[in-house]
Order: sequence, then structure tokens, then C-alpha cells
Amino acid sequence: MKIRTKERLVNTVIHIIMILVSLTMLFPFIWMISTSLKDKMSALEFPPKWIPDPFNWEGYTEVWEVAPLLSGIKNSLTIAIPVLLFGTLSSAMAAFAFAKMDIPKKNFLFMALLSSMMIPGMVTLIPQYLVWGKAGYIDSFIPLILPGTLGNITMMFFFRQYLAGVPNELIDAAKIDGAGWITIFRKIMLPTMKPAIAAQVIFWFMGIWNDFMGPLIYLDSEENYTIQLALRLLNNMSEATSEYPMIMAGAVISCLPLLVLYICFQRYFVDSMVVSGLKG
Amino acid sequence: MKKKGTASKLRRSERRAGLAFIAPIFLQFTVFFLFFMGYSLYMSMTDWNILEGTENFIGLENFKKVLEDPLFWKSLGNTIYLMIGIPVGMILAMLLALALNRKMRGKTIYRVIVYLPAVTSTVAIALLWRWIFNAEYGILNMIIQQITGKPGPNWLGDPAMVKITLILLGVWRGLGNTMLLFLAGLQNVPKEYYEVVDVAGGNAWHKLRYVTLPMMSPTYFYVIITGVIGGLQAFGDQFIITGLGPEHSAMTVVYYLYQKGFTEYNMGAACAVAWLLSLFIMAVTLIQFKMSKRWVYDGSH
Repeated sequence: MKIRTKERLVNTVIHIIMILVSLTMLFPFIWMISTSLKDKMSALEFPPKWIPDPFNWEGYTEVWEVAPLLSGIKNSLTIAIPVLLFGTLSSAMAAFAFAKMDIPKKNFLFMALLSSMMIPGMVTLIPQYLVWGKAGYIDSFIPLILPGTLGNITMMFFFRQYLAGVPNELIDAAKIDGAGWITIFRKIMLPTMKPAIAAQVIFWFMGIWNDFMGPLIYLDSEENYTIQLALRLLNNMSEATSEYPMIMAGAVISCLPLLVLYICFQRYFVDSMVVSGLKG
Repeated sequence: MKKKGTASKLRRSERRAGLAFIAPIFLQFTVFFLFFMGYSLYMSMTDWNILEGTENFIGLENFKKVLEDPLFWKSLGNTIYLMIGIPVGMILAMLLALALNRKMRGKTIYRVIVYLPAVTSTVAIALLWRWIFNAEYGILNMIIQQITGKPGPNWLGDPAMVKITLILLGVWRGLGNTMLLFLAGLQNVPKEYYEVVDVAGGNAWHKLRYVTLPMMSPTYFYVIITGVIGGLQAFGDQFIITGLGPEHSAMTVVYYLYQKGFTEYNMGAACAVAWLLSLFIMAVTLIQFKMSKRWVYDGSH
């Protein structure tokens, strides 16, 4: 009895602390949404109002005209879709081969690939920029799409870790049935890898959506801007503080797709974090 | 005899198929990593400049110039300074993980909320930070004004405050990530160890001090390594929120690289900076691995 009351007391204290922590973590989001629904004047009011009165949706209607958000979203997806489609396939195929197949010099090849994860992308950034420039691909999506479609070594690494836990009997049984490697990969491996694929695709999508440096150096004209570059145009106006409701509306819009993904696939985020943390 | 023949044929076809499966990712590795690494190394030894059209081999001149540039050292110093956020975040994340590592209702909701800042759009959050930390109209200074009656600091205009603003952003965004890693680490502490403490008559503090905290060392190691590697490449937040900052107080190494490459178009020097940064990252990682032997628990006893 006594232990139970003590337990309950501890839980209550933790709940109070966690509610305070949650509010602190949410505070910037609350302020972002609150500002986005204010009119120009009330955004600057002192003392600050947390709930806009009345709600003002002007920011949300104006921002599309000021910054090319719509084409930004479209361009980001134009880059993300082929990269995720082909890149994930390529990573999964390689992971399968490294986990379950006999390849000459397997360990050496695998370690070579992993070693590239140690070198920051900055090193190859500048020569890549020059070569793409000479080939005439500056201000196009090709430099942002093509390398990614060939795969992602981090993703390949996680897939391999995941496949290491899949029993070989599944493959042996399929081999006895006369299945070729492509069939085994397509019919057995891809379906078993589904949770790992979901988690990794979400993370990679976030990476592409949030990529800033790549688009910044490769894309010049506004109509080619990705979502992050389009948002950055809003930054140029932030000297005029009265534009903040509109700027925050833009910020909310660009966060929404990620938040929706997160809420829907919350479990995968946690799972893949745990895997990456323990085995990475 | 015949059987062996089919077996080796099978094996050969497996090897061929395997190589075909890794071909695309290997193509990427060879072209976009190996080739461009070599190219970058060569470029770092030239005075390659797009604006001036030069491309002469000058040996280690770029490295020498960069290492003699006080601005490079300042940017490296700033980059390291900004990593104060790593231990701060780790301590907070550990407290949260310990609080949530128990049977309790609402646990999932807290976890989701604390992780939320990690799932946001970079530039959006940078814009938000500029707004919250705006000296005159920002909500933070308004609250400070309300409570103390005095105006708050000039977050984005004062060299010392600029760094604190950026560190706060890093801690806020990274907290959930670290907390999840710590929660996973806590799950892996073998229960028997706690029983040993019970038998020895130890209390909850002893369990924390002598079992939980030391057993989590592989997780600290992972968090520190990834944090330092990421921290050394900081750029985006600075670029948008503060620019170079007053007196270059927000200039990081990658920012320095970006300026060399894409403001001065001095591509040779930019490649040299990239190589210096990589060498620094590799050295730091290597030292951490060496030191880890002393303090990271590896399950061998």
C-alpha cells in the first residue's frame, strides 16, 4: 500500500515536469502558428497575445504570391520521387547481396563503401559543381537527382543490418523451388524489408525536403527553387517585422508535410532510431 | 563429378548476380566519391578560380594560406564553441529518458512531443528563430520585459548572444533524438545487474550511479561521435538566422568554405578547406575511438 502511494506520487511529479517540458518544446510551434494567424499590427503588440483575435488568414493567402512555395513544393517532389524510388531500390539490392549472397571480395567492397561515410560531402561538393557546370547542368535538377538514384550508402547499411536478422532458410526454400535471385529479391526480400524501407524512406525524404546546400549552389532561377530556397526568399523580407504573419504562414506550410508524415508513421521513426543507435 | 560441376556453376551465377546487385551503388561510389575525391585533392593544390580563369598547380600554397588566415581559426573556434550544445543536450536528454523509462500513462505522447522539433523544415525553423529572438518584437524579449520590466538582450546583434541563440536551437532540435537513443540504451541494461545492487543492499541512487550510467557508455559514445561530426559541418542555421553574425561571430568552417568557393569563387582554396575539415573530423573521430577504450563499456566483463 505504502509503496503504491509512493509510486503514484513519483508519477505525479514526473507528469508535472513532463508537461512543463512539453510546453517548452511546443512553445516555438505555438508561437509560429499564433503569429501566422495574426494581422500585421497585432503581431507586434505588447503585451503579446497567444490566441489571435480575430483569426486572420491573410498570411496564408498572400504567401503563395510573394514566395514561389507551390513550385517549391513541386520541385522538391520532382527531386525526391525519382531519388527515393531508384535510390531505395539500388540500396536494397546491394544490401541483399551483401547480406545473403556470395560475392568476390565481399568484406573489402563493403568496408570501402562504408569508408565513404566518414568523409563529409563538402569534399566532393566543389569538383562536382564544376563538372556539372561544364556539362551545362547548372540550374537544373539533374545534379540533385542523378547521384541519389544510384543509392544511399547509409540506407544500404541499415538494410543490411536488418537483413542479417532474416533467416537463410527462406532463401534456401525458394532456391529449391527453382527461384532465381531476382525473384527471391522481389518476392521474399522486399516484402520482409517493408518496415525498414518505410523508416529509411521517411528519413531520406526529410533529408531531401530539408536539403539546403545542394539546391543553394545548383539552382539559380526562382522557378527552379526547392521549398527551402523558396522559403529563404521570405527571409529577405524579415527586416520588415510587420511581414511576420505571412513569413510564419510560409513556415507552417513547409513544416506540414513532414509533421503529417511524422504523426502517421511515428512508430517507424522510433524503430529506426533505435536500430541506428544500437547498431550504427 | 557432374554434381560438383553444377554446384560451381551455381556458385558462379550467384557471384555474377551479386555483383550485378551491387553495381549501381558501386557506380555511385566510384564516380561520385572516389573520382571526385581525387579531383578535389588535385584542385586543393591549384589556384583554380572561376572568376579569374586561373588553374595553375601551386602545391600546398592554399593550405598554407588558409592556415595563416585568422578568419579560418576564428570560424573553427566558433564551430567548436557551438558544440557546447552537445553535452547540454545529453544531460537534459538523459534526465528525460530516466523520467520516461518507467511504466506510466502518457509516455508515448511526451516522447512524440519532445521529438517533434527534429521533424521540421530547416529554413522554416530558422525563420521562426529569427522571429522569436528578434530584439524588439520577439516573444522572448517581450516575456523578459514582462517579468523583469527590463529589455532583454540583443540576441542576434551581440556576438556572445548570437552563439547562445544558435546553441539553444541545436539543443531544442536535437533533444528528442538523443532522448530516444538513451531510452533504447536504458532498455538494454541487463536486469540482473540491478538485482546484484539489491542483494548488496544498495538503493536507487546506487543503481543509477553504478549500473545505469556506466552501462550506457556505448550510447554516449555514439551520441558524441555523431554530434561532433555533424557539429563540425554546421552551416544552414547560421547562413539564414545570423549570416556571418556581428564580428563574424557565427561564421563556421563550412560557412568559411562556402565564402571561399561561392563568394570569392576561389575553388582551390575551398577544396583545401574541405580537406582540412575532413582531416580534422577523421582525427577527432580516431582520438575518440582510442579514448573510448578507456571509458566505454563493451560487455566483456
